[in-house]
Amino acid sequence: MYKKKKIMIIGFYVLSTLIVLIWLIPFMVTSFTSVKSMDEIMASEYWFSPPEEVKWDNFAKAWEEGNMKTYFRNTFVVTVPAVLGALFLSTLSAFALAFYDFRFSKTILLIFVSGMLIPFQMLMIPVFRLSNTLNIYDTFQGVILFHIAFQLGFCTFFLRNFMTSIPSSLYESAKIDGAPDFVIYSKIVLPLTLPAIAALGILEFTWIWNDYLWSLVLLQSDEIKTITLGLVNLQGQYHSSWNLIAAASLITAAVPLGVFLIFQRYFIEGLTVGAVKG
Amino acid sequence: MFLAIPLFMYILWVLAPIVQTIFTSFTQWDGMSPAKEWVGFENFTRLFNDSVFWTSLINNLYWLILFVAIPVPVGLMIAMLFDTKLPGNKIYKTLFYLSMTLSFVVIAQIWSWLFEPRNGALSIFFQSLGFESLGELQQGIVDFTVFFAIPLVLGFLFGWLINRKKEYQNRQKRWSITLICLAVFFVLSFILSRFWTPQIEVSRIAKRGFPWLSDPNFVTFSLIFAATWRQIPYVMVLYLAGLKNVPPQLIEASIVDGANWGQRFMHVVLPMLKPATIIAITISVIDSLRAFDIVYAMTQGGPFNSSSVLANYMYIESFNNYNMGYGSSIAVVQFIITLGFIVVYLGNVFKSEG
Repeated sequence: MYKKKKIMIIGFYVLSTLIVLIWLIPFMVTSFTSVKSMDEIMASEYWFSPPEEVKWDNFAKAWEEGNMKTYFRNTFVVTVPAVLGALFLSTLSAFALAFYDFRFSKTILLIFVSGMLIPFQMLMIPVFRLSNTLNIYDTFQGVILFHIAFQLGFCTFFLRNFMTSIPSSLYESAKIDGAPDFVIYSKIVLPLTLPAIAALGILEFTWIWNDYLWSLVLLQSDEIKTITLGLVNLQGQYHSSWNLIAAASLITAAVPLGVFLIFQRYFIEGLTVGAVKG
Repeated sequence: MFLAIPLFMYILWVLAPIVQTIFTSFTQWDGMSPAKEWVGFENFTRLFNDSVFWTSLINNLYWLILFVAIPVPVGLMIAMLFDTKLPGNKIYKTLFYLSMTLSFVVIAQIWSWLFEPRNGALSIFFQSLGFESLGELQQGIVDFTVFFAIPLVLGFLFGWLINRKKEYQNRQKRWSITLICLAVFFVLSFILSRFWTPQIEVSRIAKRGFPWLSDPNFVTFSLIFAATWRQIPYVMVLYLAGLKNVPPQLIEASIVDGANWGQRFMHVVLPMLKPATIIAITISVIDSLRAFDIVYAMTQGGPFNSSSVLANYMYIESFNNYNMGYGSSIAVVQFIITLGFIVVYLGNVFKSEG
């Protein structure tokens, strides 16, 4: 029995290592390409051979000449307010749906949930038109406001589920003590919901950072493009400089990867509790 | 009162647009002129005679099938593997999850290197296995399926059916019956292979080299393959959470009862994972139906629309060709197809709430 167990354990490590290594080949290829010179890429027979000489200036070039620094900043300018806005507004709506029992509360919740699952193509043309009418087409506000509105569905659903686990007696006793609703919301419910808000914030941050479609529809000028658009731009511009594009890809990926590695627990928790993805 | 602002924003940016799109799908409109011309069902009849629409729809079907058939079982297997208490499994999980955090645009870029025809990783890998071209690989896959995978599955299936009827308790006898069934089917497939080889149509470029993304017959599969790289860890997250809900006492009880690994998996673990499976399947289906980013970033639907999906075709019609009415009708078709799955999903989410 003991021997059998030992074989199982060794088997686990061998198999897991193998799977993970295969899984990470794409990352490896990209990392290698990003630090090679173009001459080396062209000369070498295999694209996935390790670089002979590490050239960090590909990153510098992508950052400066490729304008990744602008795209990078723009994405922050869009992502941070969008996440904060969506979180703040959804705590309000989730609070209402979790603690008040009124006629259409279930219906409203259902509408919020179903909205996040529909194909984006259903929204594209009218949202594009609306941005034009409101004069926010091709501005940061346009993208931010849309992200807030669209993510409200998922956020409300997520936070309401969490808030229903807060005992309603807490709400009722505060009510009897004469606390106004807004005080109950900000002093009692909000602090208790903080872990869920953190998990949600991490998820939302990665999703909005990675968004491509809505930036494509709502943004046009190069100066305000987000990073995913910028990366596609770069592919067209530096068509044959694979090393630059690899470096730019890694720059694009760096933030979500970093956020994930630091907040992994929240990220996974958020995904499982939400069981839904944007 | 708390609901006012969120609900207002949601109606303005999400709900009203849905209604508007449905309305627009009955009109002809270039997106600029103030007036939309009402054309009734004309967009839809035009759609049904549009070969690109059918290509997109069929490609969406491939996406749907493969997006369930690959990530769900693979995600389950890997979740089972990593669901241990051995030290180090956290590191494995973390490394495995990494691909999930990437934007599809980045994934498209990364995979375009792996799909490089001449010396990309995949081309070299299959060359080292002895395939000279993508055409040979396609033929190889078909041959493998017809002469190996299908007999294998049939053999096990028949063995299982016979064993189920007779209810032999003897383990050796059960195995020998299964083996006989397998042998029969393999002999049959061998005889068949002497007389008949399945001929598949290979495009001209696929006869030489590995045009992963430029062979019209293969490009969609390449795209789906790249997208599963991101989907598998996600399904795995769902399964790992599901596995946490399997009470260890249940497993122990089954071990005491003498159930072997296979029985334990089939009769104890898998039923407990049913909710996770339903969620994983419905989400994969919904995601497959709205696949856009990776198609648009990698091929824009090309070559010659061969990798187009509905989402991508809608975008190109609406924003590149300014046929907003026609584009809306594509979106509506996509919406109707998705709607069924959304209802299934919601049913499951709200069932637990009552």
